[in-house]
Amino acid sequence: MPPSPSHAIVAENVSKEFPHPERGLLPAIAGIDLGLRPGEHVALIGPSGCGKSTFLKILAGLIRPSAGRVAIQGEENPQRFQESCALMFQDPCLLPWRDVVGNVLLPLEIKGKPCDPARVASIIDMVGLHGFEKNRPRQLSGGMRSRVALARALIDSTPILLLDEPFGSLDEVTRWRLNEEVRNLCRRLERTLIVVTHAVEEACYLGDSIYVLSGRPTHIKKTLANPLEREGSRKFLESVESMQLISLVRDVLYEE
Amino acid sequence: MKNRILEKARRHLPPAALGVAVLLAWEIGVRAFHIPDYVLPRPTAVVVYALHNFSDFLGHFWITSVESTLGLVLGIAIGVTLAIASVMSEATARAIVPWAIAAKTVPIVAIAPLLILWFGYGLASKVVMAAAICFFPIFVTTLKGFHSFNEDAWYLFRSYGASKWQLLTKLQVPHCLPYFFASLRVGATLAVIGAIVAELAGAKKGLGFLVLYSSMRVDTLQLFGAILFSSVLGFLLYGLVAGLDKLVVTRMGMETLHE
Repeated sequence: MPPSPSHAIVAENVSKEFPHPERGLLPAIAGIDLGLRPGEHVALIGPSGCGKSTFLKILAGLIRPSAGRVAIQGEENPQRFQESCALMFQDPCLLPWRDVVGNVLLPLEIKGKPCDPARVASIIDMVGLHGFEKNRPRQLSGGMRSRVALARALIDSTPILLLDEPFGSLDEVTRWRLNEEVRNLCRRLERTLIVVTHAVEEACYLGDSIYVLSGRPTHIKKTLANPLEREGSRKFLESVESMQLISLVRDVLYEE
Repeated sequence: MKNRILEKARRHLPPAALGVAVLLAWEIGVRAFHIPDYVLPRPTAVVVYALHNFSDFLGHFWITSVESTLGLVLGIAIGVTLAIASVMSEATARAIVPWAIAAKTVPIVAIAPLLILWFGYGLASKVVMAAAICFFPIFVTTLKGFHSFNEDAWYLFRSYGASKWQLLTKLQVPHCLPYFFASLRVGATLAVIGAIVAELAGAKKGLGFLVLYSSMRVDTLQLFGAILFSSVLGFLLYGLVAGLDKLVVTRMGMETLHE
């Protein structure tokens, strides 16, 4: 699928090399092409340390690619990618001295945008943190902290959400509950989503397309479409079709 | 509640018992071997002497406390300013850090006579000496604190388009507080040492002056009294800073670096 201007995210032949003190330039990403239409959900799956997080940071305009072209909402100046992208990492990176509301409002505060209290309340409600507005991060469980990070990623209404193994450190039940919520919220709010993960089941549940990445230097091994119905995560994971898809992704992932 | 009392007792009892045992051994040893007061006075004699001459000691104590506190404040001002300058500009950091480390290798007490020559016998030379000895750990640890945040938090701030100033005030300074206060704990004790060393080099008042004066007169009781008050001063300044550390850092929802 050749990327067109109507795409929310376009990456063409994106490569990245990092300087190494002894071995010269080490390639981390070797030519990734990717195109997402507005509202599309994509999962990037690959082995740990393959460069998927670096690729996500390139899409967010935080790291410059060594070669290739990136356009976010038609904009090619990486300094303006922040206007369209919200990031979320595995570590919620909450500020311990701020309460839930203070943490959620951080992006608006830094960008100098006004905050509508009703909108803040609705976002906090949406992620299930109603009643915890005044709590500090240390008073919250791991799952709740991730919810705060999710609310913070949603508050600025950026059309694109970039998630880097967002719930990797959480227990199974909380992780899947949050995966469901992310999927539903992104559908409801019509957000374009890229989620980086190393869990095959998660990639198959969250991605309308699944990009299977190789080890370093990373490239796309295969792109798999995911046409399956995904209402509840348990129902999805237990269906025969999803098991076949998971097995297919696993085959590509394990392929040398 | 009962558990907390037990826990506190378990923590504080062994060091308290050791302290009492040492003092007892000292008292008994001096009495048993008839050691004269001018060589080693009994702890009880030191305490009685200190209480008898309390107002005299207090005068010197007050002078040294003012010197140490002002020195600490000056040390904080220098250390924090250098740390902020190093954070804001990498070129500045590269220029300052090697010099700061080099300055640390100079036995700083050796410059005390020079400071007396430059700033006189009064307050200024003691304050400068206290600041000179305590600014380094404050600078180094505070600088480390400015870089103590999670790398992803930094990316997150940058993804919001945060300016250098916003990064400093909203991410780096608050994250630095536990480090800053940890450096103050070290700095507070060093400031007292600095003030006393400068007094030893030349002063008309203060606990360092009293140490020198009493040792010249072989007044060991007074010497021990001066040492006792110096220890109390170090302890008080440390306690004050440690209290502030706990209060501020815990209020900020973080943990102190010292237990």
